[in-house]
Amino acid sequence: MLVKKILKISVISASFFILAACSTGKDELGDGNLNAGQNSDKAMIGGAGDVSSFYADEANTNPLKVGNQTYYFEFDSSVIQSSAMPSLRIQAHYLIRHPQAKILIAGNTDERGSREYNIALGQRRALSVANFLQSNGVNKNQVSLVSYGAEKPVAFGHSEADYSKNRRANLQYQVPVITDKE
Amino acid sequence: MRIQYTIILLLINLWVSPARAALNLELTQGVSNQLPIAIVPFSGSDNLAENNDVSAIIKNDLNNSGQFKVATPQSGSLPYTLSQVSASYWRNKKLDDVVVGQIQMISKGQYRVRFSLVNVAQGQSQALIQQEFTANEAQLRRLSHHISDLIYEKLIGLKGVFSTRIAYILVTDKNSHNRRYSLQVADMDGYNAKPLLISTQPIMSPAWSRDGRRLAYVSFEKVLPRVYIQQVNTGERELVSSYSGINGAPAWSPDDKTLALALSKDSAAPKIYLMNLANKKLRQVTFGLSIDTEPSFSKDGRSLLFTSDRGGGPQIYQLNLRSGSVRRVTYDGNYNARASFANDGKTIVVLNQEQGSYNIAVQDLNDDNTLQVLTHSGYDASPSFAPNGQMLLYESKPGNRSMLGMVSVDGRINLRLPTPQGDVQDPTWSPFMS
Repeated sequence: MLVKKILKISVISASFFILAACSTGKDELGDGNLNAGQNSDKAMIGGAGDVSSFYADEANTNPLKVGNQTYYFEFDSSVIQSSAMPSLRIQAHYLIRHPQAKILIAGNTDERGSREYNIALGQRRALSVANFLQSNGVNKNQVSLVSYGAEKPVAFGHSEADYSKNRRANLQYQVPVITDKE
Repeated sequence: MRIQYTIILLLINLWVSPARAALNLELTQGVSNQLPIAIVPFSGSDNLAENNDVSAIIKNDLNNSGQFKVATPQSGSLPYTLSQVSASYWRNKKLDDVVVGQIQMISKGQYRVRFSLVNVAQGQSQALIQQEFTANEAQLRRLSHHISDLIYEKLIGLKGVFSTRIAYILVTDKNSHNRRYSLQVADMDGYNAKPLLISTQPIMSPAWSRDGRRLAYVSFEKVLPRVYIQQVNTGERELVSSYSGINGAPAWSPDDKTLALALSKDSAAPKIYLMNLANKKLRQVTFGLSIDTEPSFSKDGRSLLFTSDRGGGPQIYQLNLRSGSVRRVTYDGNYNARASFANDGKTIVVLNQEQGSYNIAVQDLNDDNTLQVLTHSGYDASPSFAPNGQMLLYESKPGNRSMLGMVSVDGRINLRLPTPQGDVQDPTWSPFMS
């Protein structure tokens, strides 16, 4: 929602190298955590190839339309849930292909506890997402972090459902989002 | 570039009309052995605006302290001076003390206020205080609080806090795109609320300087958190900390020369730093990989309390600033945070969690077996001591909206300060105003 507010879509020039044509065929995305950090060129090429096999909708390379930008966390945890990983990998893939794109990762907590301590917990969550993206090959210059702790809730009651909606990290793209097609 | 929809208003000397209090102070529980006192409406009160009704303000102050049982006779022949007070009349009504007074308009907008605190407990009218003041209309509330302080100090033997102020964050329209965060300063009874900063982005952790003239706080108006210091009277402000990562939890040293901060500029988790406010130089004072935050100085400036999860979950630790040694202070419960010292330097207040219930508790600094939980909503946070060490101000969210609460250090007196406007959070009690 927030991301759509700042979205400006512009048309890329035809000279943009479309990586989807490459394919290594291997399950490198699964090993992305291991390989990407060591040899980023290889990861970029490999990652692109696997995305085309991984995700059916090739025409849609706008990261804002594929997957989502909100990732949820368990209580007192900053561990990325496995259900969040496919979407995060789409974002990683996008960021790798568009080195000018920048994101802001915002970490949040539920309302419980002390406010400044929650800022530190939110920071852990944002860092967790950043680390995941970086270990999938994203350049750290493309990633900024902020923690809002409990200061920007989206749900206001005391139910477990309210709490889980607030324990989240949001991704926000910081520059005009560039897509391959208009 | 991302468009910032942030609106910032620095309002200088803007007085919100005090026709209604921004916060309503409601006593929910007083002590059982209250001092019985009568406040007789001062002569000339009919000519005053409701907000400036001196004897009514005094009555509310003493009532809300929870330590007085206040009677306000309205009918019959009322005394206005010491000589008019009949001790036997008031003794028969089971009252120990009577406050009487007179208000005279000496010229347009200028008043002379006389009052007497008369003790009748011994069967004779004995003046404990007799004073006279001159004040203009705008000063009448402040004068009333001053008189309350004098009465309180005389009868209770401790310094009153009726002339102190509170700062807090007001959040309005939180469930809409028009959400606004506002840093507000008000009298401790909720009147005269004045916004110092209004923003579309969060504001946190207001902290009064010891001289009561400035507030340090965290603002997200530029997306990333920064610490500012703002002059309360003029609205002028200064950016003091905008390092990468977290800039948070500002706390003033007793001489106002140092600001303790939580910064994560060189680490994944925030650590405690001290900033020399004259030259902005930093000194890191806690180390390691843990989350360290929420620093709070002792009154002698030699140590500070802070929240740390170095032991697993958040607990309170005390750092000796000279030796650098750190010792753990809280052991009761698996979550203790946001500690600060009482005036006596021996008691601390914390946010304590026990079995999912977050409440305000006090503890002897040197005896971790003495944790006493004072509040019971289970959804409390941000405790702050009154400068006389008798009351605590905190935020409470038993339902969907947060409001402020006050509780005495023995837990016997309870007040709430709800606001009709929205959510009130992160409160802090001012020092004694000089």
